[in-house]
Amino acid sequence: MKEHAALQIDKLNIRYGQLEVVRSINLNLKKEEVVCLLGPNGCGKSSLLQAIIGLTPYQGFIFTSTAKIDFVSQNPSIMLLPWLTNKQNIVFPSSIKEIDERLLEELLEFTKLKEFRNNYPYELSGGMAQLVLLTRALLHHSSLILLDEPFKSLDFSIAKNLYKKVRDLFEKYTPTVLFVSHNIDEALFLADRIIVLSEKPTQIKKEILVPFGNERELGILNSVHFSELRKEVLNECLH
Amino acid sequence: MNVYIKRFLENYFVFLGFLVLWELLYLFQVVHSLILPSPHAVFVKFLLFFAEEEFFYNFLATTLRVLVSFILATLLGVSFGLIFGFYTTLDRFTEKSIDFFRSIPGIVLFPLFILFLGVSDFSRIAVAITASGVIILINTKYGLINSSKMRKHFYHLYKLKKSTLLFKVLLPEACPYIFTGLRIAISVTLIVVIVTEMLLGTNYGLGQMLVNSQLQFETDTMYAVIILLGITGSGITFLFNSIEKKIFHWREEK
Ligand SMILES: Nc1ncnc2c1ncn2[C@@H]1O[C@H](COP(=O)(O)OP(=O)(O)O)[C@@H](O)[C@H]1O
Ligand SMILES: [Mg+2]
Repeated sequence: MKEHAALQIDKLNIRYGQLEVVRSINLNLKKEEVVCLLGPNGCGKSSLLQAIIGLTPYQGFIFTSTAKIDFVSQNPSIMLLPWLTNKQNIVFPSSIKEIDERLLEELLEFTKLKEFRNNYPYELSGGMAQLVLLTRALLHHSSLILLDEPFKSLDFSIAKNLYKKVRDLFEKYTPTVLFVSHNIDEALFLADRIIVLSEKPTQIKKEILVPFGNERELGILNSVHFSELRKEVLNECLH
Repeated sequence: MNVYIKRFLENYFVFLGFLVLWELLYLFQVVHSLILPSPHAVFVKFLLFFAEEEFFYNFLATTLRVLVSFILATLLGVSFGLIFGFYTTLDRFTEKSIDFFRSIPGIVLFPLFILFLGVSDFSRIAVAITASGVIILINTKYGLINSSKMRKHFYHLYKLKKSTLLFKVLLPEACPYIFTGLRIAISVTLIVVIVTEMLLGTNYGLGQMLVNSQLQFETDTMYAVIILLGITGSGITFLFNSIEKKIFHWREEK
């Protein structure tokens, strides 16, 4: 087992009956690393995340260095309790006495969820609901956070500001993050490393290191370097 | 103001039309006035109810029977519903038998309960509890099973204690289903209690009043009781709907 590995996956196979979804995937995440899984629809990205939290049966080996895992689902309503306010949802499953209230205030401020704290999840857009889940994960000091297409329901102008916010949150609270995306810009802006997946049965096609460092400004989205990388990733995806 | 009048007319247009038709039938003596008294006579009778001691006892008897049956049915139905919904193995053993019981119209058990419990309020309440308890049980059970399916990710990830899972996640989610069960169950309770009162063995109750007034051709009383039951029923439905809207507001968007 590698030192500093927050997540180690060896020879992972996932199948649903006759359907072979994931074939022999190896993947290691260093502590505090942000990694993006990029792959075609139905290639098994959600299945892979679910295998990590033990929701999907698999063959192979999955090691996580922490029990504090949180999961931001593709479908946030599954993870939000609609009868609780957004703030109560963020605090759940702890009670308000058990959590660090200063951190909560800080997170609410940072995510701009403060003004919606006493509203209910149904009053939020899908993207904001996912932000509530991300806030829950950070508040509970989850050291491994799995995000399944966290910004898919947002239009690009909103998503861009959220990329920045989320990347800053990662910088500040340093969880290890594995997230799924269909969007190359999102992947490049948020991740330290991108894993490009093939069609089913899914294997790793390519790993791409993202050389933008830790602090990221939205400006890099317009840089030449960024568009070159975008081309490179796109080629890998289409290849 | 205009809007309210419009809303009122929309809601009660058919009802008012019905009253007019009734009045006309009476005026032109289409039906003998003993069979169909005038609406205003019935209305006067209805108002007079509230001055009658006799009526008060009848109303009280029915209300008590309904309330006792409904409360017990709720306690039993919700408890067993939670047990079967949470321990699905138990559910597999009981599902078919409960389905069988649900398919029997509750009231037909009345003669059977009379055999065991005698002609008494025990039999009446027992039938009402069986008929409405099964409805509450089934709604609670499915509410819990559905919410459990939906929240699988949730409790898997957070490794909640069983009690937290049941009372903080599954039960609140199942509450709207349970509440729907209660709303149906209270109407069923009312129906069953009235029918048992009509059948035999009691001197008090609205059902008894209904049968007696018909036998003695006091038809204005008969109609007034029917209307009273209609008002009570829609009042209960209105009450349940308002509560539902208020406490399950989070359900609307789904
Ligand atoms: N519970 C399941 N039972 C059977 N097949 C499934 C199940 N979950 C997913 N699949 C199938 O596995 C494949 C991968 O699904 P998924 O992991 O959701 O893909 P992705 O998230 O990459 O779009 C799809 O073809 C899907 O139909
Ligand atoms: Mg998916």
